[in-house]
Amino acid sequence: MKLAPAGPAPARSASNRTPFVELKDLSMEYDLTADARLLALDRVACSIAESEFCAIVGPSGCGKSTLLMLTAGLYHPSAGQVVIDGRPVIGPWDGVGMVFQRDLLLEWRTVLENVLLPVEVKRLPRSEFEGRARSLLRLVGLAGFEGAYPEQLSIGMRQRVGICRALVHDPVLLLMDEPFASVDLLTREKLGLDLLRLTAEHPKTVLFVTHSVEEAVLLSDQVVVLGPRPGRILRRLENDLPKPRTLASRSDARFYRLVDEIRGAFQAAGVLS
Amino acid sequence: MRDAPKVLEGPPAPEAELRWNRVRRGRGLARGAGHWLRRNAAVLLVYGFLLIAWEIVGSLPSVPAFILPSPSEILHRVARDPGKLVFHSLVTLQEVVLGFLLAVLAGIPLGVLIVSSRFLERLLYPLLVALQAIPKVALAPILVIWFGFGPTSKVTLAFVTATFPIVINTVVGMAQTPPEMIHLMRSLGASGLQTFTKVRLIAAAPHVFGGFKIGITLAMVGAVVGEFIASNSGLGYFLLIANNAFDAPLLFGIVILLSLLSIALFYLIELLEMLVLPRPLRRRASGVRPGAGV
Repeated sequence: MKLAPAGPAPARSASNRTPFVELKDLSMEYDLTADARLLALDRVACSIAESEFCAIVGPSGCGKSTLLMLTAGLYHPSAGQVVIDGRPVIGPWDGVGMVFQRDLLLEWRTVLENVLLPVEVKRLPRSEFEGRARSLLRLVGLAGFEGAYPEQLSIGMRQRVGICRALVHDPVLLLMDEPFASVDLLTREKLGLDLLRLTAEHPKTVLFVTHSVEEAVLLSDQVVVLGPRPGRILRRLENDLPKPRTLASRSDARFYRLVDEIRGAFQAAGVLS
Repeated sequence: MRDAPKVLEGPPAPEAELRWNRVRRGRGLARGAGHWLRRNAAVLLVYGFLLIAWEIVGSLPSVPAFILPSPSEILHRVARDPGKLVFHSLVTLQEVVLGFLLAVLAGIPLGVLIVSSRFLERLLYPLLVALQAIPKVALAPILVIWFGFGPTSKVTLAFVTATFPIVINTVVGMAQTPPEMIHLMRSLGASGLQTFTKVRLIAAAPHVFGGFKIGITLAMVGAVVGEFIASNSGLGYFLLIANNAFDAPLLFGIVILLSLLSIALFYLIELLEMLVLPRPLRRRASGVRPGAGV
Protein backbone atom coordinates (compact mmCIF):
# COMPACT_ATOMS: atom_id res chain seq x y z
CA MET A 1 0.00 0.00 0.00
CA LYS A 2 2.65 2.47 1.07
CA LEU A 3 5.61 1.27 -0.88
CA ALA A 4 7.09 3.62 -3.40
CA PRO A 5 6.52 2.44 -6.96
CA ALA A 6 9.26 0.13 -8.16
CA GLY A 7 12.00 2.01 -9.94
CA PRO A 8 14.14 0.50 -12.63
CA ALA A 9 14.58 -3.17 -11.77
CA PRO A 10 17.40 -3.37 -9.25
CA ALA A 11 20.41 -5.19 -10.54
CA ARG A 12 19.99 -8.56 -8.90
CA SER A 13 23.19 -9.87 -7.47
CA ALA A 14 24.48 -13.10 -8.85
CA SER A 15 24.12 -14.88 -5.55
CA ASN A 16 20.98 -16.93 -4.96
CA ARG A 17 20.27 -14.81 -1.91
CA THR A 18 18.67 -11.76 -3.43
CA PRO A 19 17.75 -9.49 -0.57
CA PHE A 20 14.04 -9.26 0.18
CA VAL A 21 14.29 -6.88 3.11
CA GLU A 22 17.12 -4.37 3.00
CA LEU A 23 17.91 -2.00 5.82
CA LYS A 24 20.04 0.73 4.32
CA ASP A 25 22.03 2.72 6.87
CA LEU A 26 19.01 3.17 9.07
CA SER A 27 19.30 5.77 11.81
CA MET A 28 16.58 6.81 14.17
CA GLU A 29 16.65 9.75 16.51
CA TYR A 30 13.90 10.58 18.96
CA ASP A 31 13.21 14.06 20.28
CA LEU A 32 13.09 13.78 24.02
CA THR A 33 12.73 17.46 24.75
CA ALA A 34 13.29 20.59 22.70
CA ASP A 35 17.07 20.20 22.83
CA ALA A 36 17.67 16.63 23.99
CA ARG A 37 17.67 13.92 21.37
CA LEU A 38 18.11 10.22 21.69
CA LEU A 39 19.90 8.27 19.03
CA ALA A 40 18.18 4.88 19.07
CA LEU A 41 19.63 3.36 15.92
CA ASP A 42 22.92 4.23 14.32
CA ARG A 43 23.41 3.36 10.64
CA VAL A 44 22.06 -0.15 10.77
CA ALA A 45 22.54 -1.99 7.51
CA CYS A 46 21.67 -5.56 6.71
CA SER A 47 19.68 -7.61 4.26
CA ILE A 48 17.40 -10.55 4.66
CA ALA A 49 16.56 -13.01 1.91
CA GLU A 50 13.07 -14.17 1.11
CA SER A 51 11.78 -16.82 3.56
CA GLU A 52 14.78 -16.25 5.77
CA PHE A 53 14.38 -16.24 9.54
CA CYS A 54 16.44 -13.37 10.89
CA ALA A 55 16.85 -13.04 14.64
CA ILE A 56 17.84 -9.67 16.06
CA VAL A 57 19.38 -10.03 19.46
CA GLY A 58 20.53 -7.29 21.77
CA PRO A 59 20.29 -5.82 25.25
CA SER A 60 17.33 -3.77 26.45
CA GLY A 61 17.01 -0.36 24.87
CA CYS A 62 19.19 -1.08 21.86
CA GLY A 63 16.49 -0.01 19.42
CA LYS A 64 15.35 -3.49 18.42
CA SER A 65 11.69 -2.56 18.58
CA THR A 66 12.36 0.67 16.69
CA LEU A 67 13.86 -1.42 13.93
CA LEU A 68 10.63 -3.37 13.56
CA MET A 69 8.51 -0.22 13.59
CA LEU A 70 10.66 1.25 10.82
CA THR A 71 10.37 -1.94 8.79
CA ALA A 72 6.57 -1.91 9.17
CA GLY A 73 6.55 1.71 8.00
CA LEU A 74 5.01 2.87 11.27
CA TYR A 75 7.88 5.26 11.98
CA HIS A 76 9.94 7.27 9.56
CA PRO A 77 13.70 6.86 9.88
CA SER A 78 15.80 9.94 10.57
CA ALA A 79 18.20 8.73 7.90
CA GLY A 80 18.52 5.78 5.56
CA GLN A 81 15.66 3.67 4.30
CA VAL A 82 13.99 0.29 4.42
CA VAL A 83 13.61 -1.41 1.07
CA ILE A 84 11.20 -4.29 0.56
CA ASP A 85 11.65 -6.28 -2.61
CA GLY A 86 13.31 -3.33 -4.29
CA ARG A 87 10.72 -0.75 -3.18
CA PRO A 88 11.40 1.79 -0.43
CA VAL A 89 8.97 1.82 2.50
CA ILE A 90 7.25 5.19 2.88
CA GLY A 91 4.40 4.26 5.22
CA PRO A 92 2.49 1.26 6.59
CA TRP A 93 2.38 -1.29 3.79
CA ASP A 94 0.30 -4.32 2.97
CA GLY A 95 1.91 -7.63 3.72
CA VAL A 96 3.08 -7.22 7.29
CA GLY A 97 2.08 -9.44 10.22
CA MET A 98 3.09 -8.28 13.69
CA VAL A 99 3.40 -10.06 17.02
CA PHE A 100 4.32 -8.24 20.22
CA GLN A 101 5.35 -9.33 23.68
CA ARG A 102 1.80 -8.73 24.86
CA ASP A 103 -0.60 -10.93 22.96
CA LEU A 104 -2.97 -7.98 22.42
CA LEU A 105 -6.00 -10.22 22.02
CA LEU A 106 -9.35 -8.48 22.22
CA GLU A 107 -11.04 -9.96 25.25
CA TRP A 108 -14.53 -9.57 23.82
CA ARG A 109 -13.81 -11.57 20.70
CA THR A 110 -13.63 -15.32 20.48
CA VAL A 111 -10.37 -16.94 19.43
CA LEU A 112 -11.57 -17.26 15.84
CA GLU A 113 -12.82 -13.66 15.73
CA ASN A 114 -9.47 -12.47 17.08
CA VAL A 115 -7.60 -14.34 14.38
CA LEU A 116 -9.90 -12.87 11.74
CA LEU A 117 -9.30 -9.26 12.86
CA PRO A 118 -6.85 -8.47 10.02
CA VAL A 119 -9.31 -9.94 7.49
CA GLU A 120 -11.99 -7.65 8.84
CA VAL A 121 -9.78 -4.57 8.91
CA LYS A 122 -8.56 -5.17 5.38
CA ARG A 123 -12.09 -6.02 4.22
CA LEU A 124 -10.99 -9.33 2.74
CA PRO A 125 -13.68 -11.94 2.00
CA ARG A 126 -14.30 -13.65 5.30
CA SER A 127 -15.62 -16.83 3.71
CA GLU A 128 -12.26 -17.38 2.06
CA PHE A 129 -10.15 -16.68 5.11
CA GLU A 130 -12.16 -18.40 7.81
CA GLY A 131 -10.93 -21.81 6.63
CA ARG A 132 -7.37 -20.51 6.69
CA ALA A 133 -7.84 -19.16 10.22
CA ARG A 134 -9.16 -22.52 11.40
CA SER A 135 -6.30 -24.43 9.81
CA LEU A 136 -3.73 -22.08 11.39
CA LEU A 137 -5.33 -22.64 14.78
CA ARG A 138 -5.21 -26.38 14.17
CA LEU A 139 -1.52 -26.12 13.29
CA VAL A 140 -0.69 -24.52 16.65
CA GLY A 141 -2.77 -27.08 18.55
CA LEU A 142 -5.78 -24.89 19.22
CA ALA A 143 -8.39 -26.88 17.31
CA GLY A 144 -11.54 -26.93 19.44
CA PHE A 145 -10.81 -23.52 20.98
CA GLU A 146 -12.21 -21.41 18.13
CA GLY A 147 -15.24 -20.32 20.17
CA ALA A 148 -13.37 -19.80 23.45
CA TYR A 149 -12.65 -16.34 24.82
CA PRO A 150 -9.05 -15.27 25.48
CA GLU A 151 -9.66 -15.15 29.24
CA GLN A 152 -10.17 -18.92 29.15
CA LEU A 153 -6.71 -19.56 27.67
CA SER A 154 -3.25 -19.81 29.19
CA ILE A 155 -0.62 -17.20 28.34
CA GLY A 156 1.10 -19.56 25.92
CA MET A 157 -2.15 -20.38 24.15
CA ARG A 158 -3.01 -16.70 23.89
CA GLN A 159 0.30 -15.96 22.20
CA ARG A 160 -0.36 -18.81 19.73
CA VAL A 161 -3.62 -17.10 18.83
CA GLY A 162 -1.68 -13.86 18.36
CA ILE A 163 0.67 -15.63 15.94
CA CYS A 164 -2.25 -17.04 13.95
CA ARG A 165 -3.69 -13.53 13.75
CA ALA A 166 -0.39 -12.25 12.35
CA LEU A 167 -0.43 -14.95 9.64
CA VAL A 168 -4.09 -15.09 8.64
CA HIS A 169 -3.91 -12.49 5.87
CA ASP A 170 -0.89 -14.24 4.38
CA PRO A 171 1.66 -11.45 4.89
CA VAL A 172 5.04 -11.65 3.19
CA LEU A 173 6.88 -10.44 6.27
CA LEU A 174 6.39 -11.44 9.88
CA LEU A 175 7.68 -8.95 12.46
CA MET A 176 7.97 -10.32 15.98
CA ASP A 177 8.94 -8.21 18.96
CA GLU A 178 10.00 -10.51 21.79
CA PRO A 179 6.88 -12.59 21.24
CA PHE A 180 7.70 -15.22 23.83
CA ALA A 181 9.17 -13.00 26.52
CA SER A 182 6.25 -13.38 28.92
CA VAL A 183 5.97 -17.15 28.54
CA ASP A 184 7.65 -19.60 30.89
CA LEU A 185 10.88 -21.18 29.63
CA LEU A 186 9.48 -24.62 28.86
CA THR A 187 6.58 -23.27 26.84
CA ARG A 188 8.88 -20.75 25.23
CA GLU A 189 11.01 -23.26 23.35
CA LYS A 190 7.89 -25.16 22.39
CA LEU A 191 6.35 -22.00 20.94
CA GLY A 192 9.54 -21.22 19.06
CA LEU A 193 9.62 -24.63 17.42
CA ASP A 194 5.90 -24.37 16.64
CA LEU A 195 6.67 -21.11 14.90
CA LEU A 196 9.32 -22.83 12.79
CA ARG A 197 6.80 -25.50 11.83
CA LEU A 198 4.29 -22.82 10.87
CA THR A 199 6.77 -20.93 8.74
CA ALA A 200 7.87 -24.18 7.09
CA GLU A 201 4.25 -24.77 6.09
CA HIS A 202 3.59 -21.15 5.12
CA PRO A 203 6.99 -19.76 4.09
CA LYS A 204 7.54 -16.27 5.48
CA THR A 205 10.36 -13.88 5.89
CA VAL A 206 10.69 -13.34 9.61
CA LEU A 207 12.31 -10.60 11.64
CA PHE A 208 12.41 -11.84 15.19
CA VAL A 209 13.56 -9.60 18.01
CA THR A 210 14.70 -11.26 21.21
CA HIS A 211 16.79 -10.83 24.36
CA SER A 212 17.64 -14.48 24.42
CA VAL A 213 20.81 -15.55 22.64
CA GLU A 214 19.77 -19.22 22.84
CA GLU A 215 16.38 -18.51 21.34
CA ALA A 216 17.97 -16.55 18.51
CA VAL A 217 20.31 -19.41 17.68
CA LEU A 218 17.68 -22.12 17.98
CA LEU A 219 15.26 -20.46 15.56
CA SER A 220 17.16 -18.39 13.02
CA ASP A 221 18.95 -18.61 9.70
CA GLN A 222 20.79 -15.38 10.38
CA VAL A 223 21.54 -13.63 13.66
CA VAL A 224 22.03 -9.88 13.80
CA VAL A 225 23.70 -8.79 17.03
CA LEU A 226 22.88 -5.25 18.10
CA GLY A 227 25.00 -3.35 20.58
CA PRO A 228 23.75 -1.15 23.41
CA ARG A 229 22.37 2.32 22.72
CA PRO A 230 22.78 3.74 20.19
CA GLY A 231 21.89 0.47 18.50
CA ARG A 232 24.40 -0.54 15.88
CA ILE A 233 25.24 -3.89 14.41
CA LEU A 234 28.03 -5.62 16.31
CA ARG A 235 28.02 -8.79 14.26
CA ARG A 236 26.08 -10.76 11.72
CA LEU A 237 26.24 -14.52 11.78
CA GLU A 238 25.00 -17.14 9.36
CA ASN A 239 23.37 -19.85 11.42
CA ASP A 240 24.38 -23.24 10.05
CA LEU A 241 22.64 -25.26 12.73
CA PRO A 242 21.09 -28.18 10.79
CA LYS A 243 17.39 -28.23 10.04
CA PRO A 244 14.77 -29.17 10.97
CA ARG A 245 15.43 -27.75 14.39
CA THR A 246 14.21 -29.67 17.40
CA LEU A 247 14.84 -29.47 21.12
CA ALA A 248 17.78 -31.76 20.40
CA SER A 249 19.39 -29.02 18.28
CA ARG A 250 20.38 -27.47 21.55
CA SER A 251 22.84 -30.26 22.24
CA ASP A 252 24.57 -29.76 18.88
CA ALA A 253 28.13 -28.50 19.22
CA ARG A 254 27.39 -25.80 16.64
CA PHE A 255 24.64 -24.45 18.86
CA TYR A 256 27.13 -23.74 21.62
CA ARG A 257 29.69 -22.36 19.24
CA LEU A 258 27.19 -19.82 17.91
CA VAL A 259 25.94 -18.92 21.36
CA ASP A 260 29.54 -18.39 22.48
CA GLU A 261 30.30 -16.28 19.46
CA ILE A 262 27.33 -14.01 20.13
CA ARG A 263 28.16 -13.72 23.79
CA GLY A 264 31.73 -12.94 22.76
CA ALA A 265 30.46 -10.06 20.59
CA PHE A 266 28.46 -8.70 23.55
CA GLN A 267 31.46 -9.08 25.82
CA ALA A 268 33.68 -7.19 23.42
CA ALA A 269 31.10 -4.38 23.36
CA GLY A 270 31.03 -4.29 27.14
CA VAL A 271 27.46 -5.56 27.47
CA LEU A 272 28.51 -8.58 29.50
CA SER A 273 31.33 -8.19 31.90
CA MET B 1 2.97 -30.76 19.74
CA ARG B 2 3.93 -34.24 20.93
CA ASP B 3 5.01 -33.29 24.41
CA ALA B 4 2.77 -30.28 24.79
CA PRO B 5 1.05 -29.94 28.14
CA LYS B 6 -2.28 -31.75 28.19
CA VAL B 7 -4.37 -28.64 28.46
CA LEU B 8 -3.17 -27.43 25.07
CA GLU B 9 -4.64 -30.42 23.26
CA GLY B 10 -8.03 -31.11 24.77
CA PRO B 11 -11.32 -29.29 24.28
CA PRO B 12 -11.94 -26.09 26.28
CA ALA B 13 -10.89 -26.44 29.87
CA PRO B 14 -13.57 -28.30 31.86
CA GLU B 15 -13.52 -25.80 34.73
CA ALA B 16 -14.32 -22.98 32.34
CA GLU B 17 -17.23 -24.98 30.92
CA LEU B 18 -18.52 -25.62 34.40
CA ARG B 19 -18.33 -21.99 35.37
CA TRP B 20 -20.51 -20.86 32.47
CA ASN B 21 -23.00 -23.64 33.12
CA ARG B 22 -23.43 -22.57 36.65
CA VAL B 23 -24.10 -19.00 35.62
CA ARG B 24 -26.66 -20.13 33.09
CA ARG B 25 -28.47 -22.44 35.47
CA GLY B 26 -28.84 -19.59 37.92
CA ARG B 27 -30.81 -17.65 35.31
CA GLY B 28 -34.12 -19.52 35.91
CA LEU B 29 -36.38 -17.03 37.68
CA ALA B 30 -37.73 -19.16 40.53
CA ARG B 31 -34.40 -20.82 41.07
CA GLY B 32 -32.75 -17.42 40.88
CA ALA B 33 -34.98 -15.99 43.59
CA GLY B 34 -34.36 -18.93 45.92
CA HIS B 35 -30.67 -18.77 45.26
CA TRP B 36 -30.63 -15.01 45.87
CA LEU B 37 -32.48 -15.39 49.17
CA ARG B 38 -30.07 -18.04 50.38
CA ARG B 39 -27.02 -16.01 49.40
CA ASN B 40 -28.23 -12.80 50.96
CA ALA B 41 -29.95 -14.20 54.04
CA ALA B 42 -27.36 -12.76 56.40
CA VAL B 43 -27.51 -9.31 54.82
CA LEU B 44 -31.30 -9.26 54.91
CA LEU B 45 -31.26 -10.32 58.52
CA VAL B 46 -29.00 -7.43 59.49
CA TYR B 47 -31.18 -4.93 57.66
CA GLY B 48 -34.32 -6.42 59.19
CA PHE B 49 -32.78 -6.12 62.62
CA LEU B 50 -31.82 -2.48 62.05
CA LEU B 51 -35.34 -1.69 60.85
CA ILE B 52 -36.87 -3.24 63.96
CA ALA B 53 -34.41 -1.38 66.19
CA TRP B 54 -35.37 1.87 64.44
CA GLU B 55 -39.05 1.12 64.92
CA ILE B 56 -38.51 0.51 68.63
CA VAL B 57 -36.34 3.60 69.20
CA GLY B 58 -38.66 5.76 67.09
CA SER B 59 -41.66 4.67 69.17
CA LEU B 60 -40.03 5.46 72.51
CA PRO B 61 -41.95 8.24 74.26
CA SER B 62 -38.70 10.03 75.02
CA VAL B 63 -37.89 10.35 71.29
CA PRO B 64 -40.18 12.97 69.74
CA ALA B 65 -41.53 12.16 66.27
CA PHE B 66 -40.07 15.34 64.78
CA ILE B 67 -36.59 14.08 65.57
CA LEU B 68 -36.89 10.44 64.62
CA PRO B 69 -40.19 9.16 63.30
CA SER B 70 -40.51 5.37 63.28
CA PRO B 71 -40.69 3.47 59.97
CA SER B 72 -44.36 2.73 60.52
CA GLU B 73 -45.11 6.42 61.05
CA ILE B 74 -43.24 7.28 57.86
CA LEU B 75 -45.12 4.65 55.89
CA HIS B 76 -48.38 5.84 57.31
CA ARG B 77 -47.68 9.43 56.37
CA VAL B 78 -46.54 8.54 52.88
CA ALA B 79 -49.57 6.34 52.25
CA ARG B 80 -51.92 9.14 53.27
CA ASP B 81 -51.00 11.33 50.31
CA PRO B 82 -49.17 9.30 47.65
CA GLY B 83 -50.43 11.40 44.72
CA LYS B 84 -48.23 14.39 45.50
CA LEU B 85 -45.18 12.20 46.06
CA VAL B 86 -45.69 10.51 42.71
CA PHE B 87 -46.13 13.86 40.98
CA HIS B 88 -42.97 15.38 42.47
CA SER B 89 -41.03 12.18 41.88
CA LEU B 90 -41.92 12.26 38.20
CA VAL B 91 -40.76 15.85 37.94
CA THR B 92 -37.43 15.04 39.56
CA LEU B 93 -36.98 11.82 37.58
CA GLN B 94 -37.58 13.66 34.36
CA GLU B 95 -34.93 16.26 35.23
CA VAL B 96 -32.45 13.59 36.28
CA VAL B 97 -32.92 11.44 33.19
CA LEU B 98 -32.77 14.38 30.80
CA GLY B 99 -29.70 15.83 32.51
CA PHE B 100 -28.03 12.45 32.50
CA LEU B 101 -28.74 11.81 28.82
CA LEU B 102 -27.29 15.21 27.95
CA ALA B 103 -24.25 14.36 30.06
CA VAL B 104 -23.80 11.11 28.11
CA LEU B 105 -24.17 12.89 24.78
CA ALA B 106 -21.61 15.51 25.78
CA GLY B 107 -19.33 13.45 28.04
CA ILE B 108 -18.34 10.65 25.69
CA PRO B 109 -17.34 12.91 22.78
CA LEU B 110 -15.48 15.19 25.21
CA GLY B 111 -13.57 12.21 26.61
CA VAL B 112 -12.73 11.02 23.11
CA LEU B 113 -11.55 14.49 22.10
CA ILE B 114 -9.35 14.77 25.17
CA VAL B 115 -7.73 11.42 24.44
CA SER B 116 -7.23 12.06 20.76
CA SER B 117 -5.44 15.39 20.90
CA ARG B 118 -2.78 16.81 23.18
CA PHE B 119 -3.95 20.31 22.39
CA LEU B 120 -7.57 19.60 23.26
CA GLU B 121 -6.42 17.83 26.41
CA ARG B 122 -4.54 20.93 27.51
CA LEU B 123 -7.46 23.10 26.51
CA LEU B 124 -10.37 21.16 27.99
CA TYR B 125 -8.98 19.28 30.96
CA PRO B 126 -8.28 22.27 33.26
CA LEU B 127 -11.65 23.73 32.34
CA LEU B 128 -13.42 20.51 33.29
CA VAL B 129 -11.53 20.19 36.54
CA ALA B 130 -12.26 23.81 37.41
CA LEU B 131 -15.93 23.30 36.63
CA GLN B 132 -15.96 20.19 38.78
CA ALA B 133 -14.25 22.03 41.64
CA ILE B 134 -17.08 24.55 41.89
CA PRO B 135 -19.63 23.40 44.45
CA LYS B 136 -22.73 22.87 42.35
CA VAL B 137 -24.84 24.73 44.91
CA ALA B 138 -22.90 27.84 43.97
CA LEU B 139 -23.82 27.40 40.32
CA ALA B 140 -27.51 26.93 41.03
CA PRO B 141 -28.45 30.61 41.50
CA ILE B 142 -26.71 31.55 38.25
CA LEU B 143 -28.51 28.81 36.38
CA VAL B 144 -31.81 29.94 37.84
CA ILE B 145 -31.13 33.46 36.59
CA TRP B 146 -30.31 32.07 33.16
CA PHE B 147 -32.96 29.40 32.79
CA GLY B 148 -35.70 30.41 35.24
CA PHE B 149 -37.58 28.52 37.91
CA GLY B 150 -38.73 25.76 35.60
CA PRO B 151 -37.12 22.36 35.01
CA THR B 152 -34.51 23.70 32.55
CA SER B 153 -32.24 25.04 35.30
CA LYS B 154 -32.45 21.67 37.13
CA VAL B 155 -31.77 19.67 34.00
CA THR B 156 -28.74 21.88 33.39
CA LEU B 157 -27.47 21.39 36.92
CA ALA B 158 -27.96 17.60 36.68
CA PHE B 159 -26.14 17.67 33.35
CA VAL B 160 -23.21 19.69 34.68
CA THR B 161 -22.83 17.42 37.71
CA ALA B 162 -23.07 14.17 35.77
CA THR B 163 -20.76 15.07 32.91
CA PHE B 164 -17.47 15.02 34.78
CA PRO B 165 -17.35 11.35 35.82
CA ILE B 166 -18.47 10.31 32.35
CA VAL B 167 -15.69 12.32 30.71
CA ILE B 168 -13.05 11.07 33.12
CA ASN B 169 -14.09 7.45 32.80
CA THR B 170 -14.18 7.71 29.02
CA VAL B 171 -10.63 9.08 29.10
CA VAL B 172 -9.47 6.27 31.41
CA GLY B 173 -11.27 3.68 29.29
CA MET B 174 -9.82 4.94 26.04
CA ALA B 175 -6.35 4.74 27.58
CA GLN B 176 -6.89 1.01 28.20
CA THR B 177 -5.78 0.18 24.69
CA PRO B 178 -2.00 -0.33 24.77
CA PRO B 179 0.06 1.58 22.18
CA GLU B 180 1.21 -1.69 20.60
CA MET B 181 -2.39 -2.50 19.72
CA ILE B 182 -2.65 0.79 17.92
CA HIS B 183 0.60 -0.01 16.09
CA LEU B 184 -0.80 -3.41 15.20
CA MET B 185 -3.96 -1.89 13.76
CA ARG B 186 -1.98 0.68 11.81
CA SER B 187 0.31 -2.00 10.41
CA LEU B 188 -2.83 -3.69 9.07
CA GLY B 189 -3.76 -0.47 7.32
CA ALA B 190 -6.61 0.30 9.71
CA SER B 191 -8.03 3.81 9.63
CA GLY B 192 -8.31 5.82 12.81
CA LEU B 193 -12.05 5.22 12.74
CA GLN B 194 -11.59 1.45 12.45
CA THR B 195 -9.18 1.40 15.39
CA PHE B 196 -11.67 3.48 17.32
CA THR B 197 -14.78 1.43 16.64
CA LYS B 198 -13.25 -2.03 16.62
CA VAL B 199 -10.84 -1.65 19.52
CA ARG B 200 -10.70 1.49 21.62
CA LEU B 201 -14.39 2.17 22.10
CA ILE B 202 -15.24 -1.41 23.06
CA ALA B 203 -12.24 -1.66 25.37
CA ALA B 204 -13.42 1.56 27.01
CA ALA B 205 -17.04 0.47 27.39
CA PRO B 206 -16.80 -1.08 30.89
CA HIS B 207 -15.20 2.11 32.19
CA VAL B 208 -17.72 4.30 30.43
CA PHE B 209 -20.50 2.35 32.09
CA GLY B 210 -18.74 2.88 35.41
CA GLY B 211 -18.90 6.60 34.64
CA PHE B 212 -22.62 6.29 33.87
CA LYS B 213 -23.26 4.72 37.26
CA ILE B 214 -21.53 7.54 39.10
CA GLY B 215 -23.06 10.07 36.73
CA ILE B 216 -26.66 9.05 37.25
CA THR B 217 -26.43 9.31 41.03
CA LEU B 218 -24.72 12.69 40.72
CA ALA B 219 -27.43 13.83 38.31
CA MET B 220 -29.92 13.09 41.07
CA VAL B 221 -27.91 15.22 43.48
CA GLY B 222 -27.71 18.03 40.93
CA ALA B 223 -31.43 18.04 40.22
CA VAL B 224 -32.42 18.05 43.90
CA VAL B 225 -29.95 20.81 44.71
CA GLY B 226 -31.47 22.83 41.89
CA GLU B 227 -34.95 22.26 43.28
CA PHE B 228 -33.72 23.34 46.69
CA ILE B 229 -32.53 26.68 45.40
CA ALA B 230 -35.58 27.75 43.46
CA SER B 231 -38.49 25.79 42.11
CA ASN B 232 -42.13 25.01 42.52
CA SER B 233 -42.09 21.26 41.95
CA GLY B 234 -39.90 18.21 42.37
CA LEU B 235 -38.86 16.17 45.37
CA GLY B 236 -36.31 18.77 46.47
CA TYR B 237 -39.02 21.39 46.58
CA PHE B 238 -41.41 19.02 48.34
CA LEU B 239 -38.71 18.26 50.88
CA LEU B 240 -38.40 21.94 51.74
CA ILE B 241 -42.17 22.21 52.13
CA ALA B 242 -42.20 19.23 54.48
CA ASN B 243 -39.30 20.70 56.40
CA ASN B 244 -40.98 24.06 56.82
CA ALA B 245 -44.11 22.31 58.06
CA PHE B 246 -42.10 20.30 60.61
CA ASP B 247 -43.57 17.23 58.96
CA ALA B 248 -40.74 14.85 59.94
CA PRO B 249 -42.41 11.63 58.76
CA LEU B 250 -42.92 13.11 55.29
CA LEU B 251 -39.39 14.51 55.31
CA PHE B 252 -37.99 11.09 56.07
CA GLY B 253 -40.29 9.53 53.51
CA ILE B 254 -39.00 11.84 50.79
CA VAL B 255 -35.38 11.20 51.71
CA ILE B 256 -35.96 7.45 51.56
CA LEU B 257 -37.79 7.82 48.26
CA LEU B 258 -34.90 9.83 46.80
CA SER B 259 -32.48 7.14 47.80
CA LEU B 260 -34.71 4.40 46.35
CA LEU B 261 -34.98 6.29 43.07
CA SER B 262 -31.20 6.62 42.91
CA ILE B 263 -30.76 2.93 43.56
CA ALA B 264 -33.31 2.08 40.86
CA LEU B 265 -31.56 4.29 38.31
CA PHE B 266 -28.18 2.85 39.27
CA TYR B 267 -29.33 -0.71 38.73
CA LEU B 268 -31.08 0.26 35.52
CA ILE B 269 -27.68 1.30 34.18
CA GLU B 270 -26.18 -1.93 35.43
CA LEU B 271 -28.91 -3.90 33.67
CA LEU B 272 -28.21 -2.00 30.48
CA GLU B 273 -24.53 -2.79 30.90
CA MET B 274 -25.28 -6.51 31.16
CA LEU B 275 -27.39 -6.33 28.00
CA VAL B 276 -24.95 -4.26 25.95
CA LEU B 277 -21.48 -5.50 26.89
CA PRO B 278 -20.06 -8.69 25.41
CA ARG B 279 -19.72 -11.41 28.01
CA PRO B 280 -15.99 -11.22 28.81
CA LEU B 281 -16.22 -7.49 29.47
CA ARG B 282 -18.93 -7.76 32.11
CA ARG B 283 -17.96 -7.96 35.76
CA ARG B 284 -14.97 -5.86 34.80
CA ALA B 285 -15.99 -3.06 37.08
CA SER B 286 -16.31 -5.34 40.08
CA GLY B 287 -13.01 -7.11 39.83
CA VAL B 288 -9.74 -7.28 37.96
CA ARG B 289 -9.17 -10.60 36.32
CA PRO B 290 -5.82 -12.19 35.58
CA GLY B 291 -4.42 -12.14 32.07
CA ALA B 292 -6.45 -9.17 30.98
CA GLY B 293 -4.42 -7.99 28.00
CA VAL B 294 -6.62 -5.42 26.38
